Amino acid sequence: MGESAMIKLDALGKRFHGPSGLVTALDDVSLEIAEGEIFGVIGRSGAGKSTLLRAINLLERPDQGRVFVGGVDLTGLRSDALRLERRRVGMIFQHFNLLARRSVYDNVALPLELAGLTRREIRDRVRPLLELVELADKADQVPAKLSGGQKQRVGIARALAAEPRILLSDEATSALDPQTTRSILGLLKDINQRLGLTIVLITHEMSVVREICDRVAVMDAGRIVELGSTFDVLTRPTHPLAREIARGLEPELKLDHLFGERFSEVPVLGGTTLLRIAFSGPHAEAPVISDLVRRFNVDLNILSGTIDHIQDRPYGVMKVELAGSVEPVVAHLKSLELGVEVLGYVRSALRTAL
Amino acid sequence: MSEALLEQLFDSLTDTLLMVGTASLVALLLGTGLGVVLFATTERGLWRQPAVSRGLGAVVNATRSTPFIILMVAIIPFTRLIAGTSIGTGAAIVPLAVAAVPFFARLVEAALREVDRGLIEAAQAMGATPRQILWKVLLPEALPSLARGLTLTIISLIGYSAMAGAVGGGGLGDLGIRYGYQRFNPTVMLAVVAVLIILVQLVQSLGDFAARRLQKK
Ligand SMILES: Nc1ncnc2c1ncn2[C@@H]1O[C@H](COP(=O)(O)OP(=O)(O)O)[C@@H](O)[C@H]1O
Ligand SMILES: [Mg+2]
Repeated sequence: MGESAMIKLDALGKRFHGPSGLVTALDDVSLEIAEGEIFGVIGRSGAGKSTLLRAINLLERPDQGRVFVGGVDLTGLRSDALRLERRRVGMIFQHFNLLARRSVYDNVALPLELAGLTRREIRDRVRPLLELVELADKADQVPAKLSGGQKQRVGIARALAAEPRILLSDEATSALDPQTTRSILGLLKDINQRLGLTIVLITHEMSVVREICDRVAVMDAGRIVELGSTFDVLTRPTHPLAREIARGLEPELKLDHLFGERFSEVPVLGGTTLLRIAFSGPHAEAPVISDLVRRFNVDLNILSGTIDHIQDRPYGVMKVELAGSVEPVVAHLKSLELGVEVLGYVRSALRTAL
Repeated sequence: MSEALLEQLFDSLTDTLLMVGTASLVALLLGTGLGVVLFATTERGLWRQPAVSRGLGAVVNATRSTPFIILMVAIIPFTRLIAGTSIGTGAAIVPLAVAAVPFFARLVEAALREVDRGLIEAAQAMGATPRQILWKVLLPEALPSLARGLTLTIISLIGYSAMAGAVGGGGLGDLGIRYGYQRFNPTVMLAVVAVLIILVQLVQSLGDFAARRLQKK
């Protein structure tokens, strides 16, 4: 990146006076986002995601640090120059923020009116945008008549009207149902590929990140605690919060419910071991399980298993109960670059009965 | 009802409409401006001017908390300055307008406050200037509320104008007091009340209709 960074955030700091004292919303955040990238920011509510996003077009001016967009230091601009730069950064919102008294057409036209284009120029821009978001037939409707997904499509068309290089998305799918979310994310991906638009989106849902992001930053208490490709962060999270968020995508398996009294946090004599195996990397698609059984003469009972594709790469997670010697199995799996984790132990049913 | 009475009723109605109409027009022009300033100069406003905001707020509150009948007397010198006299229909317009401007301004301020902050933010993200935000976003989005506010202002003015009438301003209030109260003529009194009721109803219905039309766009 370096030279070609579309967005460069340099040591941003921001504090707010909240009801219970000072709140640090941004704590020394530095970040570079490349042109054409779809970059996700994920974190819990209050982590500072919106503040970070709003710093990019200086809707929220940081107390410290500098913001570069397309090589221009926005933090150093006078307000009129800043307004011109903002036209090059589109933004969409969780609650759409459409003008209730303007038609769909006039909503999309607004940024162009503000920029002083003629009616004719505006029409030539708005029509194809409405086609792009498949709302040409709704041009004369008011937003109240539209569904949530349609409203967000209007929001997207409006954000694209001034032909920005960057699109900022603040929880744009959080008010939508899963199916509509997928179609909106599909549209964003499409726009990213067709127009080469750089997209920064913030969300609290890992599924959104998994769906379209190239890279992701995990935020906690105003800091970026993990940053990497979506595949790496999802399959090999290092920070506890990143791990918690990534695991949130897996089907929940309540081990203590499944095994009741027999479940144990510590090893038990003559019991079995519960393992979580993450399949990624070069051996993700190898027939690992049958190989294990043959090679180490162990018994494997599969408790749950999922196979997913993240950024078009296969990624599977399996939870198994293993009877037999554990150490060689774990060592072997690690040598295959698979993720292995001991989840707990189970006393043998026979012993408990005695 | 005699023809003379009808004629008087008609003249008084004309006076009332003149007073209320002119004062409403002044309130619409100056009150909108004042309301925008009150809205925009607050701590989190588009043109942050806390001192201006506090100063104007205090003046507006003072005017609004003075009973109209007292306000009318208190500003007689000002009325003379503007109208050249302190008696008559023309002169009554001055205190009516003075009362109506801050009244409507507060309603304008409230209507602008009702506009979703997210819309202001969206406009700022588009690179809108404060002036553009006002004309392209705030005022158009607030239009239904503004219509309701104006309706309320006009109706309040009809009431105030009857008071103004009682102290020499002419109009329906004057007629009602002179004939109905001082000369014990209940017919006139009832006729005045009926006309006032119809007038208020008419304004309310028109206002509701306008607000509904604007809401739907
Ligand atoms: N305008 C503001 N005034 C006071 N506190 C704020 C303001 N904006 C954000 N905060 C605080 O800053 C922290 C980060 O907020 P935000 O960036 O909105 O988080 P997120 O988008 O991750 O939920 C929160 O504690 C929030 O309460
Ligand atoms: Mg947020």
